Amino acid sequence: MSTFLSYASAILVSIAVHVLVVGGLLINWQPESKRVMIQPQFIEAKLVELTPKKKPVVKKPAVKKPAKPKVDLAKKKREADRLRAAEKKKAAALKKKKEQELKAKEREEKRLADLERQRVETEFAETLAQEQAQLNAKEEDRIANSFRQLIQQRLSENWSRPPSARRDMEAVIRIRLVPTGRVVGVTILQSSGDIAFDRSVEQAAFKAEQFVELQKMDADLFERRFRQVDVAFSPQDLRL
Amino acid sequence: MSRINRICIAFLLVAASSSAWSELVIRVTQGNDQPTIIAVAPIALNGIQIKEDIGSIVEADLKRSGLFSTIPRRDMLAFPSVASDVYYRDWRMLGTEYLVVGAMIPIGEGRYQLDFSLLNVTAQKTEFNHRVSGTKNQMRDLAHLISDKIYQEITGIRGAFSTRLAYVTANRKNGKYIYRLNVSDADGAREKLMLESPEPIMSPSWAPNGKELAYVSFETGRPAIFRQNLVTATRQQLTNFTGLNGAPSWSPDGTKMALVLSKDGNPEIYMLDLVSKKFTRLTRHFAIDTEPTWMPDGKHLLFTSDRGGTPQIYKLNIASKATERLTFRGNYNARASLAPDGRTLALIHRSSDTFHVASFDLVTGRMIELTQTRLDESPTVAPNGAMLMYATKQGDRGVLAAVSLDAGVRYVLPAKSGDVREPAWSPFLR
Repeated sequence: MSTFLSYASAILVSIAVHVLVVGGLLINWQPESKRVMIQPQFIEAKLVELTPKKKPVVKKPAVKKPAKPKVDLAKKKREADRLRAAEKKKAAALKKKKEQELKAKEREEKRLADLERQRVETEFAETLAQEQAQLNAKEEDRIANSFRQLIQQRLSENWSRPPSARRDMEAVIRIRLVPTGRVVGVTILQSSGDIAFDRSVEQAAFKAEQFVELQKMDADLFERRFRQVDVAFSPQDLRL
Repeated sequence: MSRINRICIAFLLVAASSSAWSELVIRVTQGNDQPTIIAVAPIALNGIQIKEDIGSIVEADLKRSGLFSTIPRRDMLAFPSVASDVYYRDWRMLGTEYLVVGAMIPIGEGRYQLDFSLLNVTAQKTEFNHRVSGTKNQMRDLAHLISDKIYQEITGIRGAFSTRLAYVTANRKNGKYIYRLNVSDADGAREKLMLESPEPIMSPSWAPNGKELAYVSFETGRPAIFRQNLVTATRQQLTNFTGLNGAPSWSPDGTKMALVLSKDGNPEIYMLDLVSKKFTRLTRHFAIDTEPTWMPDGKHLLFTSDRGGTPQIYKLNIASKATERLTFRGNYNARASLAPDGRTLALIHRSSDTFHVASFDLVTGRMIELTQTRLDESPTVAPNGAMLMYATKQGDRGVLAAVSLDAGVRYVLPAKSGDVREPAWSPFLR
């Protein structure tokens, strides 16, 4: 019997719980979902309004706050007796003066700070420009070097040494170029002492004939560094 | 102290400036050595009748040196004979770097004058104008002179096309050999017989003036050394000792001769004073000492000796008689022939049972094998040191071949009748 009773109560409880849960679900389902739908709309609207207004909001209190104490002081003037009012007026004037002085000081400080900032900014710009110039020069060197390498390689390919050439010989020539990259003149700046060797060096420059790649070069760079090119020839790959 | 500082500063400044200079200059340290391309236009003859084609001889000379390649005539658009008639653009299109033009005119008394120019096609300018002259019999000489002049101008080395060769031929006739001593141009042309004998002839050696030859002849029944004038053909016997009389070598000043005699029992090096006819013994060793050759200073000899167990090259100081072994690589080094630089030695070198002609640098000790065949012998270096001639076999016949000392080029001389052996390259003749 006792076990039946305990079972009955358990069944009742479980039915009650089920009714509660099903009922709760039936009643509460839709309103909850509606609320959720509305809330995001409010939040979105607020967010959009807040972000652009932030800056003017910060400035306004700074202007209005000194005005509010003025209203308070005026009320107090009327309420208190004349002496006190006068004293207070004096104090207020003093305070105002002080405030004004403070403001002036602040303004001056701000002006100085602005100046300093400006100075730092221009200085920064200058160093930046300098750095840029250095970078540009480096870049120019890099470009120039690649062209020099090209010239060196082309001359090397065209340099056929005579059997009289020896490892310790060296001849320096100046090659004159035009912007098309064509070799228009060769002069010997430093002879090797061996006529055949000198001629082989001249011949290498003439045989190279034209460095077509130089046409791609910036005209200013060509004028400054490639109108005349000095080349030293020394056969370090020879046996003797 | 302050002075030292100043010197230091000066030194630093110089160092700095020199490094700045080297930064500006492009440095080319490697090359691409190719034969120079040259075109030799036919020489304008202006109606003169000659057998030789001078232009072709020049072309062949230059080509044979290995330092030139030539443009065939059929590719030429024109045959100019003077510089003013040359359209450089046409020649440049053919890829030639240089052009030779020339013209011949008669100047009376059977003589002819040849004006020629070397034109630089790449730089479009005349390198030189030159004039040679001679009789109709000297046309080959004129051609070789032109080759010499061009070769020297472009390579920086004196040309050796006007030099000559001496060599021995052996022809079998009716079961018996006939030996001949011949002299020819360096290109093998114009062979001239100096001596014919039924007995062997060996070891021709040029007098430094190029007018006489010394050689070994067995005509007396045993080896004897003779000298013979090339123009008058008069000859004189220098030695008549029992045993070996061999390997004559003229001293650079032409007054002495180094040779080998075995009259004392085994071969030793002797020196013969050609004026006083006195012999001086230079080596004294129970081993074989042979094949003497002079150093350019006239104070030292190189010779082959097996005193170390295998044949090797030794150097002998004539005054002190002190000897010094020079070759150590390989178990056979012999037949030394010295290039005129006094530094490069051509020799026969054996490595792995094969004999090669090799060059040996006396300064660096570097040995370069120049030929590969098994039967190469008797190397002789051209007077300009650029080529060497040696005897080799082609089929079963002996022929002369030449190879450049850097082994870049090799050629065989036009075949002669019979076996050709023992070449000797003449000195410069003018």
